[in-house]
Amino acid sequence: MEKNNNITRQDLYQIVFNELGLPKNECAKFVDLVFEYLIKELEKKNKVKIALFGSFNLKTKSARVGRNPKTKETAEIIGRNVVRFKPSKMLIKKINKQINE
Amino acid sequence: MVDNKNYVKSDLINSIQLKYDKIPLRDIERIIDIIFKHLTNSLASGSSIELRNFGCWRIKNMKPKIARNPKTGEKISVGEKKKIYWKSSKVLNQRINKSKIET
Repeated sequence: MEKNNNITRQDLYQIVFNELGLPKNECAKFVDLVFEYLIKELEKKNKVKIALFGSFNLKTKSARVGRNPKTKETAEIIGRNVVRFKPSKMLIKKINKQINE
Repeated sequence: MVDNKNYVKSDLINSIQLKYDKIPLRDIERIIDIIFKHLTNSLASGSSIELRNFGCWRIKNMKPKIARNPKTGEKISVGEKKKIYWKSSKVLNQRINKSKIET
């Protein structure tokens, strides 16, 4: 069983720090800005594509009637937007590498 | 309907460059590549990624199963594989639904 590490923003700050040698708080700002831009584009309903990683797509879900599976109560689920992530082919290949070998 | 544009990696690099004009473009390009490469490699090694206020990625193991070609009805065995599970954060969900809540 592989160890279950969790990558967080802290790890990315460290990487930028190692590469750029900027002060730590500047590195944090840099990384945060990257993801801030991605969110801004999604807010504008644009599709975000990162080559070799994947793409983020905004999908509009229409309203529907849902049911609480426990209490069986019906409730209306309002229409909303969701972000979908589609991994690139290369990423899918990469995560399945160990199995194929 | 607003015309939907694709925002690609080079656009991201250019946006960052506007804020960090003292860092050479080629360095910004390299860092962005390193960031996403790190995310890719982490997922490949089975780690999950959790970026606060953005979302998280997890690896899900899919058991081998027998699937069918929907056209011919032919049986095909699909081996064990891994899938990426993505969940957007609450903050991201709120932000992309902002216009809806206001109206």
